[in-house]
Amino acid sequence: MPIRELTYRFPASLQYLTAVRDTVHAFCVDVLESEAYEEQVYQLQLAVSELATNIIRHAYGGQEIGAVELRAHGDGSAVTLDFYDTGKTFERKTPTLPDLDSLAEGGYGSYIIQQSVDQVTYERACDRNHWRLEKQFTGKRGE
Amino acid sequence: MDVTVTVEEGVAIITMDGHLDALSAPHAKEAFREYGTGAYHAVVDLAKVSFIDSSGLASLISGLKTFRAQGKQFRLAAVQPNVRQVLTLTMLDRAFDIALDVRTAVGSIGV
Repeated sequence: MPIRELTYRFPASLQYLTAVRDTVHAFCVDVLESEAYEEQVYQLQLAVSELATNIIRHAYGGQEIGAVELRAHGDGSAVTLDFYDTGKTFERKTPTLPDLDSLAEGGYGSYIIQQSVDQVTYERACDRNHWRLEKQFTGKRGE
Repeated sequence: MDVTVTVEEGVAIITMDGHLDALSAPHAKEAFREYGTGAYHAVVDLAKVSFIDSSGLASLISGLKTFRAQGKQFRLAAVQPNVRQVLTLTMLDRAFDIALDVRTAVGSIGV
């Protein structure tokens, strides 16, 4: 199984969301040596999109200043993504879904992240936010 | 993401092409506002939408509320597996009327 590492630094702008998702997709296909995990890779891309949007909008206040650093590590059956930013501290709450009847237009992002990966951790250290997303890729190749 | 609208017998068929995320969601909302003034029902063709996140979901919810407030129907059509997965995960598949394709959606409105 190959071990791969990648560092990708992008401006804190929504313009880069597609590029970040595409980068994570390419990294996963490379490290997993297969396109057989498309559904699980999509789940990881989904979590990445939510987290990057949260960082851009909330940590940096949507002002398109600052940058986000993504460090990816993969070992053939699992991928770990570390995100670093120097925006505001994030006040993490237990993710829950909004009441369906309320038809809320927000409040889904953290829940989607939590459900789309195996592990989500957050810490504030050295004036930086550090998020870690971990995902195991399971099932036989080709299924 | 590209958003195009065609009007057919009182139904605005809103076709989206691309990723529905925080960057593109405002374009979708704009189309919903423009056609959600009471003159039309809406069918949102998602056949060419391969990615959606919570911002994209928010735009669809906004559309649903806009058309409902005018007493009009708002239906999704041709939802692709990746998008269906997110709707199911958030249980919003229960909130939307979802049709197999645009023709079925338009026909079911029965204008």
